[in-house]
Amino acid sequence: MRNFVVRDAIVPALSATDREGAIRELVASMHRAGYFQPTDLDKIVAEVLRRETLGSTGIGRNIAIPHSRFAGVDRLIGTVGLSKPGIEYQSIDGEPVHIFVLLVSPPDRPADHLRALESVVRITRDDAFVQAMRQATTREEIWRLINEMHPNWDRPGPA
Amino acid sequence: MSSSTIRTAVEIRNPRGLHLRFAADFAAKARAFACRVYVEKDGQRVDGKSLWDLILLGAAPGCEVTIEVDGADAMSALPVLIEQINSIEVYDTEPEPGSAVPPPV
Repeated sequence: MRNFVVRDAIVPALSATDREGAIRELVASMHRAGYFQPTDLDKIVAEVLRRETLGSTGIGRNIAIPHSRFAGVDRLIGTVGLSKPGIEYQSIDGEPVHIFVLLVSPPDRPADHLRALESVVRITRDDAFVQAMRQATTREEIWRLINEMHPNWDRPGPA
Repeated sequence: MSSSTIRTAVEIRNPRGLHLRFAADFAAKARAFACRVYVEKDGQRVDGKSLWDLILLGAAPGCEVTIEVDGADAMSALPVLIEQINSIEVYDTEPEPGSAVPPPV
């Protein structure tokens, strides 16, 4: 995850109380960190939301991986947002989402997107990581957890 | 291996590989059957009924996976799962206006 998470876009405490709000907040945070043109933000949010209509990216265990393909990036980028109260997300296990990992990838790089998905799932399988993330309150803490708890999890391919 | 175990190798034709939506659909179809379902790639064998496990396979376009079904309804399950793994749907189209939001997996 450290290869694609934009550190300066990490949101340690989402203000949003619903799915669309959370996605907007994450995309806006990436923009403030220097990504996307202002005129692209609504398009990206709309595409992420469209993807949600095909099936929730709330994959369970309080994790969601909202994502979009976007021609305006030349590599896969993303960020992490936390919600202490949790956000209703129609997740596969019915649980609210506390940890969001937004992914925005170029349309023509399916392998990169797959590796990013794999890395998110690999790291969030670890209960200790999820517990620590849910207790994190600052961007620095979240960044440290991403970098330190699983130093090898962003290698390509399965274990 | 019991007599009701069947294995078949399939190439991932989906241009986005075993991505999230694709894996979710496969896992949902697999869970509809009582038999055990495994998907194997490069020696790694995962539970085909688990979305998380399927994502961990990291099955890219063009790679070969083996579907293994084991149990009473394995013969019924296999063609359904082969059809699903052969899907090339990339979900780029808008849902039909007025259509219900599909349920999560």
